[in-house]
Order: sequence, then structure tokens, then C-alpha cells
Amino acid sequence: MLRTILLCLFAAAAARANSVYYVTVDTTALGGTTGDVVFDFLSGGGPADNALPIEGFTTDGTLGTPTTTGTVIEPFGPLPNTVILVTDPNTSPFNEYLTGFTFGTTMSFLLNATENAPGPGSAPDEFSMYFLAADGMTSLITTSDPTGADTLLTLDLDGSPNGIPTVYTVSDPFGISATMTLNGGPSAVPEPSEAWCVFAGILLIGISRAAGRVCRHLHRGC
Amino acid sequence: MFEQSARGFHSGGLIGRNGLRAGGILPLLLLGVSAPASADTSPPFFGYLVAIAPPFTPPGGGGAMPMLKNIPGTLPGRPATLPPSTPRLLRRRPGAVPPSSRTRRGASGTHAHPLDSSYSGDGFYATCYSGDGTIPDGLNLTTFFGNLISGGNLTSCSQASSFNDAVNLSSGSGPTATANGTISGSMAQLSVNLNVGPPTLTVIIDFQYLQTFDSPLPPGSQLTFSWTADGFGIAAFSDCTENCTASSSNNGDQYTETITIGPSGQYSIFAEYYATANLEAVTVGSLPGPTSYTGSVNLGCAMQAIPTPASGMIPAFGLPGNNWSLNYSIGSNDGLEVTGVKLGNRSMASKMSVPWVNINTTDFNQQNCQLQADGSGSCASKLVYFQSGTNDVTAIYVFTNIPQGTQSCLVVTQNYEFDQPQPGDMCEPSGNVGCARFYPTVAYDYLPDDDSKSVNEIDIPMRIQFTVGKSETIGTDDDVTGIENFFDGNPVKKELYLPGVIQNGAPGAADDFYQTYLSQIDSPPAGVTGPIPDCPTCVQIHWRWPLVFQSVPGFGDDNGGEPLIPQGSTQTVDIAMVAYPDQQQNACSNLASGQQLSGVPSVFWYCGKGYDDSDTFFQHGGFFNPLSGTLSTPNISLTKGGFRINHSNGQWGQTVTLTNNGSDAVTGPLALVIGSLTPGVTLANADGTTANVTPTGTPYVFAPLDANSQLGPGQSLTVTLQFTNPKNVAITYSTQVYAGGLL
Repeated sequence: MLRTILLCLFAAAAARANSVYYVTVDTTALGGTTGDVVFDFLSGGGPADNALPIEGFTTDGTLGTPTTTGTVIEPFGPLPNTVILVTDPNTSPFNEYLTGFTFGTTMSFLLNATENAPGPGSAPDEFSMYFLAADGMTSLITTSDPTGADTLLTLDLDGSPNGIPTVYTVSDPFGISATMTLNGGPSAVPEPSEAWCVFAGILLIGISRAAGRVCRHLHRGC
Repeated sequence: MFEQSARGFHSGGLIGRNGLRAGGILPLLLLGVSAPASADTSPPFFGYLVAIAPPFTPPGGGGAMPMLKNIPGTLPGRPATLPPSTPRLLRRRPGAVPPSSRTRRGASGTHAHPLDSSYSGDGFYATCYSGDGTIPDGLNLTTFFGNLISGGNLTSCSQASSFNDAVNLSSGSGPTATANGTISGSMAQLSVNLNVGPPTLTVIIDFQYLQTFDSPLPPGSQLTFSWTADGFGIAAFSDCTENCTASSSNNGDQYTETITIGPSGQYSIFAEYYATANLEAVTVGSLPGPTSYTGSVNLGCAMQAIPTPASGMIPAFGLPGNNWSLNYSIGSNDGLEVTGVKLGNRSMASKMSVPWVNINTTDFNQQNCQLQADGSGSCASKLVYFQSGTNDVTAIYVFTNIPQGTQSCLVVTQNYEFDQPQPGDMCEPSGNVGCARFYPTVAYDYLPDDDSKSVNEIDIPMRIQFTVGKSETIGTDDDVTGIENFFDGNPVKKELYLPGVIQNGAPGAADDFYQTYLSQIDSPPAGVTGPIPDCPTCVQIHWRWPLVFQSVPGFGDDNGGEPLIPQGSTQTVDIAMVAYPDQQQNACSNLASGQQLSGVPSVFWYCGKGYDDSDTFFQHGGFFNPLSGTLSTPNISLTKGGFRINHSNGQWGQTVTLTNNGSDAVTGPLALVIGSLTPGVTLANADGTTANVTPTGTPYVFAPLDANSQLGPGQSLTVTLQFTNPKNVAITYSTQVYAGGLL
């Protein structure tokens, strides 16, 4: 029952958002490599919270055991099930889903983020994705990320419609590439089993933020 | 045409140019590697001995040439017996001839040997030459020639820096043998051409050259030599303890080797041609005519091109606001180029180069010769030397085929030197302007293949694209009052060509150049005198200071009111200031076209004209203040990106975009101050903390401006911030953008 409530709440959050991106990554150049896939969702320090479900994860690689930091909700279990990361500047500024992974040739998933704007002078909440070695520290790829973090892609939730997506160029190994397609991909349409939640979510739109806090509270308690 | 303003009457000390550089480093380098005529070297020494059969008893007795037993000879040349490191040789000789009075090329033709400078016997002749008439006291006595000296027969040399002797020897007894020909020597060429008439039994030739030079680099550093020694042994050596000697004895082979400079700061070059020929086997009835012995050492004009060195950089030493940094490369046509010259984070120049060389000698006249690494055709140049140090970079080019079919050449040496600020160094007389000096010098040496040839005029312009700002002045200082007059106002309004700012070595039409980011140079107002700082925001070039500053205690750049050029030089300097991008011509007089100059990026041309066989331009250098600038808060908006984690070090990274919303370009340095940072979080990539704006101690980063150190209207740039955030808390901070000054 708890899972159902949580899923409904974040489905509701997703329903009011427009930042829905279908992400595909060609990982052929890393095929057979064992490492980590990392999804980070960091608060920009502003007062608003945001939620970012990772849905419809598919791959021909092999997922391993996940490690989570901050507010990361797995209503139906780990990837490839939906995983939700939630920011809160006070309680969960740093949220991370790190999963062991043996790379195949491709992976894809849907990012379905809320669009709460940062406060004046604050940085936006940012989703970012990494390919790390099994040590969880060393990047498997070299990208054009100007900060030197070798981020593969980011989504900044600055309050504008659809946020600001960025895909960085991978210079090493050659051939790794990603795409972020707005409103694209198979998961843009709610799955039948979850369709009822959208309706519930619409009803709950006014209280989604508070509900999010309830969810996190419940999550910790679980 | 003139505007007048007072220049402060200044006082202050000096660490002078000469004191810092020990005078004339580059010409010495030139000497050491390739060419004659430079200051502060020991005078050259040349000595030779020729003997023909029958075997003779050398001076001092001891039988028939006992010294030869240790020196097995072969034709055409034997590897020289090279002297070991000899500190005594490396002492600077007090008799060094100053450039102004030196006779660049010595006696020629048959030399009249004075007493004690030669020794002759039966089929035997030896003599020596040196720039001051002395025999180097450290000349290695294990050599054949040294043995002759030790025998007591030579106590002095003829005074000459080069020679060309006719040799006519006869054995005089026994089987008659003769040797006729010439022996000549100079820094650039040692040559023996001897026809030995039958029935010669034995011919012995020992021919030596020795000279000591100041190193262009300090003790402990390395110098690389490159030459071709055809028939000669040649060596460079210092008084160090390891890697002190570089030598070659390969006939005709290109040779490159490195030595370490020893405590004396000097090095010597020694060359020897030694040959014995026992022709007994062919003298019995069938010697096929005269036999010729010829050797040469490829110095000066004969130096070989070296591979083009890779581009590089001289990094700052890490003291914000107080260190030079730059990039250098060998250009395709403009010689050694330096780009991106910055002092700390303050950009001074985007490029310095030599776009052309005009060569006019008594037998050659061509404009627009290019400094190329390995050119061809008429006035083709080749790069023969390159050296980069911690604060300077040097390239030497040789122009040959001037004209084609001759052995004459022009050696051009570029040296860009950037000195750190020196405590007590007063670059201007007030002593109140911090300064770091720079010297973009270019020197030339004309090496004709005949003494009758000489330079009519050598033009070498230095093109400098300063990026300090868009306001410039050209001024001339009154010798009595120190008051400065500005050509075409403050700032100069339109493109300007001003000939003869130095006129034939004498004061000319102007004395200095300034550039600032302010609307005009911040010179004291008219009528104000006293020790007033002189344009602290400027890059300044002074090729002459007024005579009145001679009385300022400790100020050493006054030079008695004379231009700051090499002693005795008769050079003329023209200048031009033109808008960027400039249309590069082959004459400075064609550069200015009357375009608007004030408020636009510009290029400064310093056009040296030499009339002597050697000269150096821009020896006075310039200086830049690392501690200046008027701080402003430009109309720049700021957009923060989100945070991300660098998993390798745990730091939080972020990009911040700055956009110039004003109508004017913002001139750097441009700094983003990060205030009120979340407790427990620090800015890991801060370039410094504030000292002049409150709250002090606030971290800031410099924004990466373009080559002109500017952010144009509507333009944006990105600054990257790195934070240490061990507790992974939410990061908040305030921002303020400052431009143009020190924080």
C-alpha cells in the first residue's frame, strides 16, 4: 500500500511537469566492461524541492547491486524499475543512485522531472549521469564537461519549461554518445497499470510537495 | 599638435638593466655559437704552425717533434686535442673591447709579424693573433701549439680579431720542400689552403682558435651548440663539474651537444685543425702536382638549420598578479613569436613578432625578407639556434644568399625576456609605480665575406599587439623641466607614424609610449611636479628619459638624457601606432592610414634601422605594473548552472555564465567574488582572496577573457567553480563581479 501511495504521489509530480526526456546512450565502446552507472541529483540550494523519476530503464547490459545516498526511492525495487531521486536543500541536497553495471551496447530511460524554480540567486537543481569504474571514483569516460567531472549529461531544473538539458561529448573512449529527446521514447505514455495514478496525481497536485516530504519520511521509516 | 602635461619629478633607486643582464648577453650568445662582434667576451685567439720536411728540431729542443707522438695525424684532419675545462680561461678579460670601439674584422692580407708574435725556422713558421695581443694564460699546453708557447718563443700575439696570411715556406736544406698558400681565421671561418711542392717529405699544420663568452643563461643552466666541423675538431667547454665539454671531430657531420654552464657564467669555444702528411711514399718521382689541405669550421654564415622546435609556454610561478606567463612558437614568416603575454592575470600583449627584415648592404638590397625556419632563395633565412628558459626565449636566424653566390650573411637574434619585479627597482623616477620589466630585443650582425662590404641599412621592426587598453600616448620629455608633450593628444586620436624618435643614435622626435585601459593615461595634471607616480595603469616604453632625471638619486635609466641604445650605436628608430587589425607592409612608413585609434585595439610598431655591421634594437625594454588598475563593477549579469560531483575528488563543480549587458567592452582583469559561502564549504579553485575590497579575505576567481583581455557588449563567458564540500550540504553564496583592478 505504501508503495502505491508513493508511486501515486510522484506520478502526480510527473504529471504536472513538462521536463520529460527520453535518454539513450550508445555504450558499445564500453561493452563488456564492469563498472558503475551513477545518477546524481543535487540541490542548487534554493528553497524549492524537485523530484526526478528515472523510468523505463532498459539495457542489454547487466545491472548489479545499487547503492543510494540521500533521498532515493525505489517503489518497486531497483533499476530497471522506476527509481525516484528527490532534492531538498535542507535534508537531501545530495542524492545519488549508484549501481554496479556490466556494459552492453545500449541503455535508455526516461527522465520525468518536476520544474520547481530555484529561488533568486540560487543555482538550479541538477541531474547528472556518470560512468565510473568499479572503484566508484574513476571515470570510465572523458567528456567535454568543463568542470572536469566527466559528466555524460545533465538536466538543470531552472524553472524554465523543460529545464536545460546538456549532453557532453565523449572524447575517450571514442564512440560513446548520448541523446536526450524531449517528450520522446516509449515511456512518454503512462503504462496501463499506472494510469490510474495519474488521475490521483492530478487530484493531489496541490499537495504534492508536502506529500513528497511525507514520502521521504515514510521512506526513511521503512 | 601638441598637448602638454607635467610629468612628475621623480626620485628612486635602480636595479639597472646592465646590472640585471651583465650587459649584452645576446651578442655573446651569437659569438659563442655563430658570429663575431659582440660585447663582453674575451678577445679571440688564433694561432697556427706550419712545418715542412725535413723534420726539424722544435724550439726548446727535445728532438724531432716529440709532441707529435701523442697526436697521430691523418689527412685531411685529425680529431683535435681538446682542452679540458680550464677555469682560468673563463675569467673575463679586462681588455675586452667595447662594441663601440671594436674593429669587427681584423687585419687581412699578409701579416707583418711583430717581434715575439711569431717564430720561424728552417721550413717552419708559427704565429698567433688575439684581440688584445695577449696569449690566453690558460691555453692548454698539451697541444702542439701550447708546446710551442711553453718553449718560450711566443710571448705575445699580433693584435687582430681575424687574419688572412700568405704562407711561403721552404725547407731550405736537404731535399727542397715548399709550401705556398693562405691561412686565414675569423670567428666564422678557419681556413687553410696550402699547396705543397714536391718532393715534400712531411707537412704539419696545427691551427687553433679560442675564445671565451658570457653565457646567456646563469650557472647551472645548459647551452646547446650546433655546428659542422669539417676537418676540424671543435669544442665548447665551461668550468662546471659535469657535462662541461661538448666536442666534435667528425668530418662534415652535423653536430649538436649540450654543456652545463659553470660558476664563472662563461664558456669557451676551441677549434683546432691538425694534420700531418707523410708524403714520402709518393715523392719518389711521381708526386702528382700540388697537394691542397683545406679545412673549415662552420660557424656564423655556415651554421646549419636546426629542426623547428615545438611551441611552448613559460608559465607563471603562481603568485597572483605578479608573474609573467606567455606562449612562444616559431612562426612561419615572423620569426620567434610570443603570444598571450600576461602579468599575473593581467593581459599585456596578445602577440610580439618581427614581420620582416629589410637588408641593404653595399652589394645587396632587398626588402621584406622573412624570418623562416628553413627558407630558400634570395635572402633565405634559417633557424640555427633556439633556447627557452624560465623567463626568456631566444631564436637565432641566419640570412644567406645576400646576394646569391656569396658567403655573406646576416645573423638576426630575437630574445624575449620577462623579468620578475625586483625590490627597489624603480622603472620610473618616482619609485612609486610597481614594475616588472620586459625586453623584446632583436639584434643583427652582418658577416660579409669580404672586408670591403658593409651595411647600408638594416630595418627590423618589432610588432607588438598590446592589450592593456585602448588609450595610448606618444610623448617627449623636456630635458629641463621633465614636462611631457603628447603627440596628437592624450590619448592619440588617429593612427600615427612618427619617424626618427631616435635619430642616428641621438634623441629624436619622441621619448616614450604608454597604453592604458583608462580613457587617457593617468599622468599628473599640468603644473604638478614632485615624486608623483607615472601612469600606474600603463604599459610603458621609454627609450629616453629627460636629462633632468639624472639628478634623481638612485634612478639609473636616465643615461644622461641620451637614448637607451647600445653604446656607439648610430641606429634610428621610427614608430607607428595603427588600429588592429593592421595591414602589414614592408615599411613602417606605410602602416598608418589615418584611421581612428582612440578607443579601438591597436598595434605598436617599433621600427629599428641600423647602419652599423651590428646593432641591437629595443634594448631599453619596457615595464608593466602588476599592482595597478581602477576597480569597477561592470554591468554584467550572472547565470548559475547546477552543481555536479567530481567523483574522483568529491568536489562540487559548477559553471557560471557572465554576460556583458553594457554597451562598452569590459577590460580585464575580470573577477568573480564568491561571498557568504555556506559554512564548511570552500572555493577550491580560488585565484586569490580580496585585499582591497570588503569584506577582505573573500575568495575570487578570474574569468577567462579573450586575447584582448576584454568581454565585448553582449558577449558571454563561462567561469568554472570548484567547491570542497565534505558534508555534501547545499551550497549557497553571493556574487560580485569586478573589473580592471586589483581586488
